[in-house]
Amino acid sequence: MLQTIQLAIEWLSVLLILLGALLSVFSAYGLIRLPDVYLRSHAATKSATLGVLCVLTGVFLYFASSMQTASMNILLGIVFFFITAPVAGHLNGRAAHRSGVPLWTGTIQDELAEAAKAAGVPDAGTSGPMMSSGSKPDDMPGEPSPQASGKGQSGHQEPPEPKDL
Amino acid sequence: MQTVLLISMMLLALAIGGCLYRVLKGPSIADRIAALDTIGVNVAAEVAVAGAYTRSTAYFELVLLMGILAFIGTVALARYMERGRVLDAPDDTTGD
Repeated sequence: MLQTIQLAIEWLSVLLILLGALLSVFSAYGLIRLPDVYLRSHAATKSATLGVLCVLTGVFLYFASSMQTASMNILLGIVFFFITAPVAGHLNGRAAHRSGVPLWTGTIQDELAEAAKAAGVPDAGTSGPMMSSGSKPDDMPGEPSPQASGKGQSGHQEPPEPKDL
Repeated sequence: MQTVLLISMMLLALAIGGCLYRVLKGPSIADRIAALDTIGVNVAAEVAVAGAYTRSTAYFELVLLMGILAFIGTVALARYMERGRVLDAPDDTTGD
């Protein structure tokens, strides 16, 4: 009976590891396919974090059931990744926006540029030399057709080539 | 069970390869930073699965270490990209 429970927990942990590895593969696929830094960080932070949490939880359960050792390193790693991966993604996205990395041409809303403009904070998304998009935040709110505004932007923005694969 | 662990390690290696493509290709620095952060996270997961595969806890310090290194590296690179330097001097008056 105890053997059966142990085997069930081991299989559960191994399947959790496989699920986490699959999530990491999906995250890498999103990192390759998505057209924009901000959309890519969407894939790189969320699903990669969930994947590594699944993998580490699976490894922790595997060692707890098969070798009767609770690894504190893995436990600390779970907590650490859970805290730091979204923070790192947020810092990277904010730095990208402030240094003027262009948005995808299909983007219909840029709330950070509007907020920075309202607060008077220098932001390359509104005033930087790398992006000549002075009219973009004014056009965005209440725009009835996002497709039309997306097309209007595409003339003066440097698209990051969504289909360059 | 060992086979499933081996398949998981191969999938994680595939994910690292995909992130490496984005590091080499990425049009902006921010793409490369995000991909490098994901590579660090995936390497930590790979080390953990390798520990489960070989049934040894010898490398589990590396999981925590890779997490810390990936986070510190991402923060430093993002700050460097944002304002041209990593650490602000105490008497700095030009910072935000």
